[in-house]
Amino acid sequence: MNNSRREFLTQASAAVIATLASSSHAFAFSEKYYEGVAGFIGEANSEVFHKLSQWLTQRENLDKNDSDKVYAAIRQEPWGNEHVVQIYGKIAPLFAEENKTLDVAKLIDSQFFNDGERWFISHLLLTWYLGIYYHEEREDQRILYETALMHNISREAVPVRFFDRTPFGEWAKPSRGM
Amino acid sequence: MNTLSADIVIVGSGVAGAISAYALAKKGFKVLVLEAGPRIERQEVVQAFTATHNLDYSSGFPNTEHAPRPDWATPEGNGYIEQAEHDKSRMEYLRVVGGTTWHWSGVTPRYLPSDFKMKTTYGVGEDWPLTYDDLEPYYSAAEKEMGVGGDARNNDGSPRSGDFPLPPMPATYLEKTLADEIEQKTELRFIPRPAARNTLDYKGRTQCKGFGTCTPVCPSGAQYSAITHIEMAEKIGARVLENMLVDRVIKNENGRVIGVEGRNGDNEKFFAQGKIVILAANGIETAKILLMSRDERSPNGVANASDQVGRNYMDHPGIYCRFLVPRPVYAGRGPLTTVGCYTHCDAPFRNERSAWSLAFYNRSQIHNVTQELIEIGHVPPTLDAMIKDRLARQVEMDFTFEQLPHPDNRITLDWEKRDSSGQPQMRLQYKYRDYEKKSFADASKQFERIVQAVDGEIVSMSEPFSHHHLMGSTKMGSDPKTSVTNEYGQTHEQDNLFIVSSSLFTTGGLSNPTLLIAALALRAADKIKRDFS
Repeated sequence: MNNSRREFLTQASAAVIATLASSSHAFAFSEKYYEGVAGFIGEANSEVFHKLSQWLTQRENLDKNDSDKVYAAIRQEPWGNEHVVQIYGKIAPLFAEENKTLDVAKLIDSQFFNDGERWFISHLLLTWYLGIYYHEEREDQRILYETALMHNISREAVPVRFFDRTPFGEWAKPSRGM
Repeated sequence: MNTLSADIVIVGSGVAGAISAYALAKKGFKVLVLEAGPRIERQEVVQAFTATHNLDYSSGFPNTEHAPRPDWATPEGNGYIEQAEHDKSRMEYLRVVGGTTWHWSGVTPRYLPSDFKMKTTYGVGEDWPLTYDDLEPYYSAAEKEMGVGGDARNNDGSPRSGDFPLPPMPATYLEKTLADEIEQKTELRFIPRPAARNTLDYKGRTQCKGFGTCTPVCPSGAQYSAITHIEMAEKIGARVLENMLVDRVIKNENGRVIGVEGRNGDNEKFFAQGKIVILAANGIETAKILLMSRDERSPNGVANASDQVGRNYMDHPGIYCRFLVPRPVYAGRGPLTTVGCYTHCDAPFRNERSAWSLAFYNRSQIHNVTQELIEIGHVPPTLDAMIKDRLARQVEMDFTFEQLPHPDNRITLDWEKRDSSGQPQMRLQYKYRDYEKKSFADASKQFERIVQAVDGEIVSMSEPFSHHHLMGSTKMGSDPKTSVTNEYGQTHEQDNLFIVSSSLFTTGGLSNPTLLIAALALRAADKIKRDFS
């Protein structure tokens, strides 16, 4: 079980849920606030969300169908579109200025984002990388499986569970990822 | 009421029920198998696991109102089993045709000769009413039935009359690399773990395809599941019915067992009449059925004049460790586990504390690693590099401990509360005692030594947890006053009522129980053939 691995994961999931619960109530928005930040006062939509996801995941080739699935979950949240608009509005001009290179880590470290924005970025990355949407009040939801970004960076080295076979005995040799 | 009839009525379709059904149908008996849960299809289960957010190993399997089961995520109670004391046993089993072999690890070591003689050898626990030598031919037969691969020259101390039916599984790179390093610097020795995962095509099942998901489910069916014997039994005439929830064992006016009563999936009552009844409903459900079968003459339930039904419940406690090694080993390639360390599975210290074994857990670390790194604030592109690095180097390892029987570790029924099927709710009292706790305390020292041996770095170590090996609640023994069945699983009170289950285990030993369940089932089938043909 076999397995306290499950214990860990349950605890980790609980920690995420706790984070969601505490952070999302921590700040509120006003239209004035994000109108003034970056000049982006457009509405959130799947294109805006896709672009934002490309920036934050640092992937130009981010799948649009997958993006629509993630966005469908995000926009159901009462704060979903507001976060998308706010963070997009903050990043867009920087992205343009920095000639399509954007160091999100540096921005986070420099306190460019407030606590709520940092939480949302982490929430979005968790969804993209794990393929699971951790809801605040509803049941969590599997959105992506084999196309979750964690597999995108590791599939050469470690097979995707249930999807990839390893030829018999091949596992006795070093991984191709080594 | 719908009445069914057979020579032998078997309750439960896991490994015990399935192998019994096949063995007895082969001997010419008319066999009826009643399974509380539904039939399932392998690919549907695989799809369910890829569609769920839940990482629990049972979440891809049905948990129906008609045949509910414990929920690993809620050990304190999910309306099915309430836990009354500390040391929650995170029990987990399936109620489907094929039982819990749908998501076991496939590991099939034999028990040691001393495991059957704990009282005589170490002055603790009890002796079984049979010996290893009595069981050896049945162990061999069970290995052939299930397709066990192993290395007979390199085993854990259980004498063998012959080779394994299949060659051993090639060790994974992770396990081989780390085992070699640990062996160079410590007294610990690793050996191939016998396992019922096909290393060659065998009994209609394919060679292992390396999906790496032995638990929760093998997508190719290369790993043994009781479905193999269910289908074999059906081909030779056994009848296997799903969604048949048994409520009680029925006796006639003379007090003799004549069958079982229950409800089908539409909640309509049925009576299944048999000359012999075999309860094969796992280490918990078997005791539950006996306890539910109370009447005026048997107020404690059938076969329970000794008041031993439900007592002596055991598991194999475990402690789970994670660490980082300095070189890439990539957990998650190939089978879940291929080698184990049994160096401390039998030694004089067993007179005061439990034996322990050790195995790596070759599960992909991708989810844990990614989640942890994002939660502590890492973002792309460094996130990707960190995931790759941690994924390559993070390892899981698992200590397993034996647990002695204790009469107060006990399953009882709460007749005032009902589960979703309408049956009385179960209540479990379960505690670790000093015998186990002494070895738990030693584990952190052992873990540190092992991590040092591989120049590693400790990440975490869990509290003791359950391996879901449900044992002991209807133990076998020589004395009807202190046990439920004799050495064949035949109840002391009813010569036509048999039990084949890990609930028979007199002591728990250290080995995974499934092969012993199968061996005991084959031995009981021989006894039935001799006495009832």
